[in-house]
Parts: sequence; C-alpha cells; structure tokens
Amino acid sequence: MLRRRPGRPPGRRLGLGLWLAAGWIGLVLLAALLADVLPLARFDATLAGPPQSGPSLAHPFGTDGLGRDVLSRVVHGARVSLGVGVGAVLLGLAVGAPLGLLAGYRRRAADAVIMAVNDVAQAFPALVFALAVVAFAGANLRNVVVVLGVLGVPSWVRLVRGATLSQAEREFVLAARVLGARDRRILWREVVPNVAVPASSYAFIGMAVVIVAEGSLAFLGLSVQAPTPTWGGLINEGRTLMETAPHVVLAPSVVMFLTVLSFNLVGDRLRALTDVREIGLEPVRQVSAAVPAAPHPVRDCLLQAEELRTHFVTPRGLVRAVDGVSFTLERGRTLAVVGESGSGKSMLIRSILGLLPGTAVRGGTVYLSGDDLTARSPAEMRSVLGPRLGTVFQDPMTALNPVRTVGTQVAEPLRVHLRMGRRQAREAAARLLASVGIPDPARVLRRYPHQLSGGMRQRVTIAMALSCGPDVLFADEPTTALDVTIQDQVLRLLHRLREERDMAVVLVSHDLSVVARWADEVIVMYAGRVVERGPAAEVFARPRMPYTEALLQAAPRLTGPAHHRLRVIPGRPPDLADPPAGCAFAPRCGYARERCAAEAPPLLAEEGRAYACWYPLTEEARSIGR
Amino acid sequence: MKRWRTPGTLLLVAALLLACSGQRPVAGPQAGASSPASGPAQGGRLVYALSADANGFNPVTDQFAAQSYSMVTTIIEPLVAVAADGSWKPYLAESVTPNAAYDEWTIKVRSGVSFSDGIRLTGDIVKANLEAQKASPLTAAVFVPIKSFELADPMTVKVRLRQPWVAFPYYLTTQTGMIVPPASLADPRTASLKPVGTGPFLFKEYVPDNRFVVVKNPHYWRQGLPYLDEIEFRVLPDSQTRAQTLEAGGVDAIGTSRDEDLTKFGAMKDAYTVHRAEGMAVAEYFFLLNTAVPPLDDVRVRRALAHATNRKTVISTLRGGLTEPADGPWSKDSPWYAPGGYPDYDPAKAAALIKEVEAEKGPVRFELISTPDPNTMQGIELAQDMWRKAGVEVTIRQADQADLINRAITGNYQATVWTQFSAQDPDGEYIWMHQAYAKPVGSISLNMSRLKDDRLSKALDTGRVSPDPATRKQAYATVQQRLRELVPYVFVDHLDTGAVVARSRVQGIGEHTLPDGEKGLPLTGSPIPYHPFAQIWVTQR
Amino acid sequence: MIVVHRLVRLLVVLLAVTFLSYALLTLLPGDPVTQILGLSATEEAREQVRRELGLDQPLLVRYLDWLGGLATGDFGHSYITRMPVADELAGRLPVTLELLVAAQLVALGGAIPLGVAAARRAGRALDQALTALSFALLSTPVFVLGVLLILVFAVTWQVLPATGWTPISLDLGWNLTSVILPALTLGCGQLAVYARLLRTDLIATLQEDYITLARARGLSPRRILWRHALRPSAITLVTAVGLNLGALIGGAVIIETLFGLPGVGRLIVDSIFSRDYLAVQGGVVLISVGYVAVNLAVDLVYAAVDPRIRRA
Repeated sequence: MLRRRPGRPPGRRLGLGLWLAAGWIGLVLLAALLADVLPLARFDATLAGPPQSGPSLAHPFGTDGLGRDVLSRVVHGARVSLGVGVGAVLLGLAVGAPLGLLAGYRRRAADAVIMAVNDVAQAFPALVFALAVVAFAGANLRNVVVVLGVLGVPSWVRLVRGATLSQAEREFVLAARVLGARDRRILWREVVPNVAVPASSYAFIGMAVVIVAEGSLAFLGLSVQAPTPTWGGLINEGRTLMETAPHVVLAPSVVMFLTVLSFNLVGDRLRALTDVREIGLEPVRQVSAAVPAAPHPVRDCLLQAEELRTHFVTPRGLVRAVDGVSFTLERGRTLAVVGESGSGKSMLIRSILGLLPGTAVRGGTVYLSGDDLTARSPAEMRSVLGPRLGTVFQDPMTALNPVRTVGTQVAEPLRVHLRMGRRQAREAAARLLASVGIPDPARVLRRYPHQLSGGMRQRVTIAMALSCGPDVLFADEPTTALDVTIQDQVLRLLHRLREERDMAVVLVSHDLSVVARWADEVIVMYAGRVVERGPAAEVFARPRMPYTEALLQAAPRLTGPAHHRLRVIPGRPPDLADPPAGCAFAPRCGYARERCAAEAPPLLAEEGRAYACWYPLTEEARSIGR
Repeated sequence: MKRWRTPGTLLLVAALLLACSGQRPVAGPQAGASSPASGPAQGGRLVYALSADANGFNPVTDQFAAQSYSMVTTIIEPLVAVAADGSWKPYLAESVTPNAAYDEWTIKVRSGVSFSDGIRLTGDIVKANLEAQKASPLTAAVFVPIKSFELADPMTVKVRLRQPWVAFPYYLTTQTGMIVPPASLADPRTASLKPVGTGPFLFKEYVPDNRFVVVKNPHYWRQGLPYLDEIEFRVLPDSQTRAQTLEAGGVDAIGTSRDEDLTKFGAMKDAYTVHRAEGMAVAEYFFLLNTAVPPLDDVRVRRALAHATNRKTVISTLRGGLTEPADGPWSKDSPWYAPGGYPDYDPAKAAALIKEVEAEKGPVRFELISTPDPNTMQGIELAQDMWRKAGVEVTIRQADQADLINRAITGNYQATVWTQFSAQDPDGEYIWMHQAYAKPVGSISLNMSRLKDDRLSKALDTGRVSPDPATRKQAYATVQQRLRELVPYVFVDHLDTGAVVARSRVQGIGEHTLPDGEKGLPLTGSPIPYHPFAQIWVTQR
Repeated sequence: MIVVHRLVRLLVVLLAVTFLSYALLTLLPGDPVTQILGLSATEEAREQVRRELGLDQPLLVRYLDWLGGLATGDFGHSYITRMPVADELAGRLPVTLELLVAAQLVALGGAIPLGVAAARRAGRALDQALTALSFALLSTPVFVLGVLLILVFAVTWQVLPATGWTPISLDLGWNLTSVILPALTLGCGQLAVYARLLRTDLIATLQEDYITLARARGLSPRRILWRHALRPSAITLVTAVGLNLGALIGGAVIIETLFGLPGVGRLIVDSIFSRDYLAVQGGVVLISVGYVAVNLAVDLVYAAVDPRIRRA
C-alpha cells in the first residue's frame, strides 16, 4: 500500500531535477554570452594542441582534427546553436501562431486562404528553399534562423489552428461570443492561454529539432560561415573521427543532449505548475493508520459509508474534498446527494468507487453488504465495479468514447465480467438498450455516440451501467446536461429500473426539484461535509440548516408560479485548501453569529434526521429569513 | 508492460533470420570453376564500391569523372593506354606514329578486335568516333588543334593537325580516345545508359545511384581475359559508411581518399591491400588565386600567402602525414620535375610582405571560397588561421560545386581551394595555364588564375610543339620556375591519398599488362584513382 | 465532391510550388552547362548546349513549356544523364517509399508502447527515463546515428548489411534486410517525436470522463489504455505521420547518401547541385503530389479512427 507523508507537495519531489536543469541552462547561456571573455583558447586557433588529442588539463574536452580546443568550440557553438534554436522557434511561432489563431478562429475565407498558402509552403521542398536563401543571402546566423524558422511556420500554423479549432468550440468561448465579447478579447483571454499549453510543449521539441536540423544543414553545407562552430556542425565534423577520437563528436553531442533535455524538463515543470490535472489510472492511496477511524458497527445494509475522507495533496496545501461522510443505503431506496458544484458530491461518489486520481488520499471505510471495499486491491475492486456497482455520469457526450460504437461499449462489461461470447454479448446489449427505452436497438448498436441525441446517449450510458445487473447505481448528475423534457424521461426511467431490479440508487444532483421528486433520503453537502441528512420529504419541507434552505430557494420550481424569483446564494463556496475556521457556510449565511465563525458545528442527529448547525432553523426563523 | 516487449523482439529475430538467410542474391551466374591457387583464378564475382555515380556512359556526350572510368573501361576501351613508366602505348590501336614534324599522326587500328555487338573494329569506325568527339561540345576544346581526319586505308586513320602536337596520343588515353560501335554513335541517348564496346565485360544492369553490373565478355579479343565472371559497382557516396561497408564484408573493394582509411586498412595487412596512386597521375591540392582582382593581383600578397602556408602542418593534420608537400604541378618523382624557387614556409617574411602591401594599399583582406563538405572546410579553416597569423584577413564563403566552378571560370572569386594537374603529360595542363586561355573577369577563362605571363606561355608552347625531350624538359622547368615566382597557385601537397582498398582475396589490382606486353600504369586519376579490371581475379575460399 | 475539391487543391499547390521552385532554381548561381560540359568547354560549345536545352529562353517561357509537357505526362529529360525524368523518378520512388514506410513502422512501433508507458506513469521514473531517451534520440543527428548503427550491426555483429540496396524484384528477404538499418536511423528521430506527442495526448485523453467511466465499469488499466484511450489519441499521431511522410520524401536525402540508397531525395539534391532543373522539377512535382495525396489519405484515416469526422 502506497503511503505518502501529508503536507508535502509533489512539486518538491522533482525539485532536484528541475534545479539541475535550470542550472544547466543557466550555465550554457552564461557560457554562450561570456564566450569571448572566458579564459578559453580561440575557437579558430589551429594546433592549439596536438590534433585529435583526448581530454587533458589544457584542453578539458580534448582537441579536434585541426588541434583546436573542443571546449572552446563547444562554448562558442552554444551561442549559435541556442541562437538558432530559440530564434527559429520564436520566428516560427511569431509568424505561425497568429495565422493559426486567425485560421482556427475565423474559419471560412481566412482559414481557406491561410491553409492553401500553408499547403503550398508545406509541399515546397525545404532543400530548394534552404539552398536558394543561402545562395542569395549568404550563409550566416541570421539566414540560418530565417531558413529554419520559415520552414517551421507551416507546422506552427497547423498546430495552433488545430488547438484553436478545438478551443473555439468550447462552451466558454461560445458563451463569450454569444455575449458579444470582442474577438480580440476572447482570443486573448480564452483561446490563447489554452492554446499556449500544446504550443509550449511543441516549442521544446521544436527547439531540439531545430538544433539538430542546423546540423543537417551543416551536413549539406548550408549553415553558418566557417570557422564559426555550431553544435550540429561540430558533430558533423567530428563523425569521421568517431573511431579514432570519439571525444570530438561526443563532447558537442552530450552538451546538446543535456541542453535539449533541460529545456524540456523546465518547460514540463512550468506547465505542471499551472496545470494540476492528473491522469486517473493509478490505484488510490488508502490512509489506514494515519487517521484512526472511530470504531463503528458494520450494519446489515446494502451500502454503508463510514467517515469517508478524500484529501488531495496539492502544491497549495491539503485539500479536503470529502471530509468525514457517513451514510447507509438499503436496497430499493434512492439516496440523493445535493449541494453546489464543488461541494464534494461527485468526489464522494468517486471516493466510494475508488476512482480517484493518484494524488488523492482516501480514508474511512465503505461496506458493500458488509464487505469492506476500501481493503480491496485495484484488481479485486474491478470485480465489484460493473457487476455490483453501476455508474452514470453527468455529460453523456463525454461519458461515451467517441471513437467506439455503442455496441462495443455496451457489450464490453458483459464480455469482461460475465465472460459472454461476442454474439451473446451483442444480443444482451440489444436487450439492455430496449429495456432503457431505445427504439430499434440493433441499429443503435452499430452507431457512434455522436450520431445519437443527448437523451439517447444518456440512455445508453444507463444501459451500460446496468449491463451487469448492479446492486447500486450511482447517477452523478444524470440529467444536468439534458433538455428539460428529456430530464424527466430519464429520471422516470431510473426510477422504473430501480423498481424492476430492486437496486439502490445514489442520485447526485444540484437540482433540488429533481431530488425532491425521486429521492427517499437526502444528504446535503457543503465543503466536503454533510451538513444535513434525512428523509427527502422532511428535509425539503422543513430544512434545518440555512444552506439547505438557500439551496431550495435557488431552485426553480416547475410547479411554482411564473413570477417566482430565484434567489442566488451570495458569495462563493470556500477554498477547500484553506477552509474557514468555524462553520464553512458561516461567511455566506444570513443567520450566522459569532459562534459560527469560531467553532465548527458537529452533525447532530435528531428524529431520524441530522444537521450541522449551531442555530438550526425553526418555523419562525424561516419566516423571518424570508 | 511485458506485452510490448514482444513486437520488438520479433522484429529483431526477423532481422537476424533475414540476415542469416544466405548469400546475397545475384541476378546472374555464380562463381565459376577455380584454377590452381598459384596463378590467376577464373571466375568469381567482385563487388566494388565507388564514391559517385557516372553522368552517363557515352564517351562522346557524357563528361567522365574518375568513377566513370572505373565503370566504363570495363566495357569501352581507348585507342591508347599509359604504361607503368608514364609513356603512352597503343591499345585498340596497333600503332600510333607521328610524322617528322609531329603535325600528322597515323593511327593503325588493331586487327581482330570486335565490338560485343559483333561488328569488327575498323578504321572508319575509329574515324567516325574521333569526328564525333571533335564535333561534340563536350570535348571539342581538346581537339581544337586538329584539322581533319582521313581514312588512309580500311584500318588506318590519319590525323592532320594545325600545329605540331607531341603529346597528342595522351589525349587518346581518356574518354576522347574511347571507341564505341556505330550504333552507339547513331543513338547517343541509349549509349549513355547502355554502353557497348570492345572491352572485357558486357553491360548487364544499371540502377542509377545504386549499381552498375557487368558480366564477362566471352569473346573478348585478349585471349584468356577477363578472369572475373561479374563485377558489381556499388555507388556509396558517404566515405565513412563506404569504409564501414568494406569492413562489414558488404563489398570487396572501395575507392577512398581518406587518410584514415589508408592508415586503418594499411595496418591490417592480412585482410586488406591498399593501392595508392602515384607520380604524374596524382593531382595537386592547392589554393587557386585570382590574379586579376585585388588584393591578389599583387604578387607580394600571393608570395606572402605561400610563405605563410605551412605545408607540413597541413599534411600532418589533414593527411595523417601521408603525403608529400608540393612546390609545383609535378611531383619530385616525375621526369618533368625541376627543383627550386618556391616561396617556402617563412612566417616572418610573409608578415613583412603583408606589412609592406598594407602600408601602400591598406589592410589585406579577401574571401576564400570552399565547397561545404567537412574535409574541404578543414583545409580552408587551417589556411585561414595560418594566413591570419601573417596579417591577412580571410573570410570564408561556402558555395556548392556548381556555383564554385562557375565562379572560378568566370573569375568571380578571389581565392578558392582547388585540385588539379593530374595529366600524364605536362602538355595536358596547357589550357589551364596558357595566357591565351586567360580572359578578363566576367568571361569564361579556362586559365582560372588569369595569370598572363609571356614566358610561361611561350614555354608551354615549346613543350607542346617540340619533339625533343630535353627541350621539352627545359620548357617545363621554365613553367615551374615562373609558377613559383608568380604564385598563381599556393601549392600544398601531391594528393596521393587517393587509393583503392581491397580485401586480400582480390588480386591483381594495379598489376595489369597492356596488349603488347608492357606493364600498364597501375592507377590513374583523382581524387579516387581507377584501374582496368580485365586482369583482376579473386581467390576462392 | 471531396475528390473534386482535392483535385483543385492539388492543382493549385502544384502550380504554385513548381513555379516557385523553378524560379528559385534558375536564379541560383551556376548553370547546368558547366556541369554537362565540364571546365574545358569553349564558349561556343556552351552556347550551343544552352540553345539545345532551351536555356536561352526567358524563365516564363521555359516554365510554361515544361508545364505543357507535364500536362501530357512528359517530365522532360535530365540535362545531365539524358534519361527521361519520369523514368528516373519511377526507378527511385519505390526505394524512397519503402524507406519512409519502414521508418514510420519503426517509429510507430516504438512510439506507441513508449508513449503509452510514459503516459501511464506520467511524472514517474519510467516516464522521465523515457523522456530522456526520446530527447537523446532527438538530439542525435541521423548522420551520427547511422554511422553508429552500422558500426554495431554491420561491422561488429555483422548481422545486417551496412549499405547497399537490393530491389524487391531481386529478393524480398535481402530487400528487407537492406532497409532495416536506414529505416532504424530515419525512424528513431521520428520515434522520439511521436512518443512525446502520444504521451501528451494520452495524458489529456486519460482525463476524459469516458475513461473514468470505463474504470467505473471495472475494466483493467491495460484494456482502458489500449482499447479506450489509444484510438482517440492516435488522431494527433496520424496528423503528424501524414505531415511527416509528405515532407520526408525530400528530407530522406541524408539517409540515402549514408546508406547508398538510390532514392528520390538524393536525386533532388544531386540535381540541385548540378543545376539539373528538370530533374529537380520532377522531384518537386512528386513531393507536392505526395504531400497532397498523403494528407488526403490522412483525412480518410481520420474518418476511420474518429467517426465524428465522417459527418463532414
């Protein structure tokens, strides 16, 4: 079991490498800048030592075929190679990025013209171009930068255009456009920062490619004026001596390799600082002894969560996404989890399922029919996921793999878990689709997700979740991304399936109207904690916690009068890395008093309900608050 | 993770299996019967690596480089060949005789020679060939002194000249003297691709930039020749991988001009033989100076450059100490060599000369043009550094071969590095040094240094027309003396690192005899020499 | 419809590229006549050849002339070798194509497992080792890598031929052995680029909802990686491969020189150096057509890999 000492951000672990890399770049840059004043032999002084002699005190990197000091040549070469690398990448970026942005953002005519020119440029033989420039303008640093930079432009245009295209379709960009924000502003604020990530990643590869390409130009005699050394040129010169004097080719090669690697490392880390996403294929780390759990009884119910915690170790500190949540669930019941986005509802589901990113640390226990799920290894967990626990996510578009047919995806769990044959699985999948109300299932099986409507897709994901006959169905905001009319159909379907299959359902939603209608029990979450719990009808009719009330007031009622005004909850949810000292809701709470800010209220049980509030709402208070 | 190890392993296994799948296939017959180890063995196949491809195989229309001669001479033969002592000897000709004034030469064609297409070699075919050569824009310049050809009898051609020309037969040893059948003359395009001739081998296959394969001519006119059944010429342009291929056993012999190869393979005497070109056949490596443009129009600057050039250093760094310094176009072992008078290495004198010029005309600076390959560049960089020490500011400019040659002949350069002067007879250098060929900058001038010296030119004329060896030797001594005095060329060395390196199973390189029994010149040409293949044989393993 | 569109695009690209390269070439110093005749030719001889080749005509006339020939499938004759340019290209294209395809196989065959392994363990030791390896490959110029590979495989172990080329028609097995080293040399640099691309893309894909959901269905990480994540991520890779294939036709020249392969790249470079304009033009046409064709193929592959594209 992997353990991690808390409070130590992951960035530190890689600190040494980063510092070494930065140090190396600094050293190379400094050497390149100070090449003339450093106490080095002249880079073009022949016979400074015996030709092809190995490393010695006088010549730390040895001498080349003409007896020139290799160290001095490598240092002077840094100037040209770095200049070429940085210059060409910047030039390619300076010309290519605006064109790519324009083409990707404007589309239509601009795109057509830019891409046509780009096609011509890309189809044009690079060598003819390089030769022509060098023959006319002469071989010098500037022209080599121009040649390599210009040759890189088409790739930059393509890259930036592609990234812009995908960004331009994102909701926030579309929204900004609809709201009439000026294009320049949208580009700058919304698109450029997102395009910058792939671009910077490409830039470092591009730098390496350019530095090596300069060597290829040198191979063809199209690089800078001799005897000015460049790394590529030095390697080319030295390769004939590879057998007799390997240091001549090794020295520039190693220096070049280290530099290219360092640039990449630094770039990678810089990006990691601004971008904390991580992939989720790693097993969850379970905190066992670190947070000693209070002794608790294992109840005779289908699903039981005890003091479930999920913490993230981030560079900003420990984030308590789920902080001590407990509940039980019986077969045939629906538990609703409500709260604003960021309150930890989705994380609670993932925590139960063990689907957390590698940086997450989980504590507490989850029992499925009395069986401790948190003690299971990832492989053991997989035998439960699917057959016993089914899951439906919010956005049916992103929940389905766009490049696999519906049939493959629906049949996959059947084949993996139930070991069905291809044909058998396919038939079962068709029955499943029919059972979730999809007409002509055989045809839909052959379809790709994008060919289906949103409601259809959600039905497909539900069918997938149900394929192995789970005992518990987790539905994480299953209707949020759907049309209002479809929402109701989907919820109705979930309810019917629950009845037919005698499952339990965990329904996560921020939409209380949904929950009120279909849930038996509800837990309200705020800042990773349960703030209120109880039978759905009770909780919604008489909320005790002000947060629950605020949520109810913010929810639209389909049945309510048309003039009903929605109240927005003032303020923002707290920063989970730095939560307020007392009640987390206190800063936004209309009823908050001194104690609320000082002391966190415990979750108090009362008549089958529970709430965490020092001053729970009574009927009178409720009317005053209104 | 274990999964991806499999494809990689499979690939490697497949590679090994393929590599072990047997003998490299050949499109023709395998090695024939072997004869006793004592003498040349019949049969066998030779794979011979060359540095470049030919620009076509037609001697009338295609310019031949050294590698072209390697390939073409297996199929097409010249009228005259050069013997080991440097004198010319008849080859397809039975005899070549001048009249008393040396302004008419009689070529008697050898009888009993046939082309591989069955046509017998006769006087009118030779005449047709020579006329085609004279008419061809490619070779016309060489044959300028020729007035006419005349068929004296079916097997005899008379060549009438405008002036005496002592060294004329030497011009029949190269592509201008190579004889092709009438069909080739009638269809030069086909002849460029599929050479036909009287030679020991027949054309079999040509893949441009890859290989040229010839097979034994069973009806070759020289009895018992050739020994080999088949030769594959492989074009491998990169000198390093060419040497590696020889080491890996992929080829039997390579042409090379790298001193590393001479040292390396020379040390492995049991496994390899190294054959180097020598004598007149060797070109000189020098810096070509444009005497028509400042600052190199000043003889003091040119002399200073020669004084500043340490030839020994160049030889020790660039040639592994394998070559001899040069002080003129002909090496010391040549009969035409005359010693003395070359401005030797003397940095003090060089600096003084430059100071003197500087005082008069300001700083001495010029541009040195080089082709961009690393080997050439190394020489250039060395020179730049040596000349810098004498006070000359040299910048280097890279130009590709086509650009460089164009600049050289039109005079659009100040100095460049050059390799030339490998003719068998000094008269071969006539057009490069004579003032009649020196044109003003901007027009094409074969005398690329554009040096116009009366005494030098007169001496060249004497050498061309005078039949008396002593007079000729005297004339060429004058040539050398004037070159040393006026320094249009800063000589470095005799470039005899050009060599053929062969595995020791290859026998007979450089040991051929001519049809009349004289020993032939072992190796010809530069930078990589060539040799005939008829008498090469391989020992069977 | 798409075919018509593509054909128009091909024509535009072809016209623009060939004219530009023709213009650039003729403006280069030096001329083919010296290359044909050598140093010792007379001025009259040069003039004569210039006339024969039509080099005395103005640039535009020559270009249109050549274009007219092209329209009837005549690429003209090489100035230097006198061979029809079409024949030269036909002889060399298979060599270059085989080299490129083999190199791409090497690159993809290495990049996919490496990229997947690195993405799976992003930020960990294996990822960093693979990063270092790919940058080592990137910073090794092909002319060094080639010489090293020959040294190891051909000289020391003697398991593969160092250089030389056996046409497929002669012997398939030997043809394949002769392409291994060049393909390795050319493919290694690409391998590094592809592995980096795939890694970045996979990391993004692995953050998608459908990957989490796949985990929620109890599928194994291996299955998720190879069946669910690789295909969407392959799109970036397909683009890169397509662009590379087009651009590499001319760029394989160093490999072809090192290994003595009679390919198109060498033809173009040698022809540029000998100012053999028509031969270069033939190569340029080939590259442009190749580029457009490969990218059309990429679009088709896109559609196969990503069904969303099929709508368009």
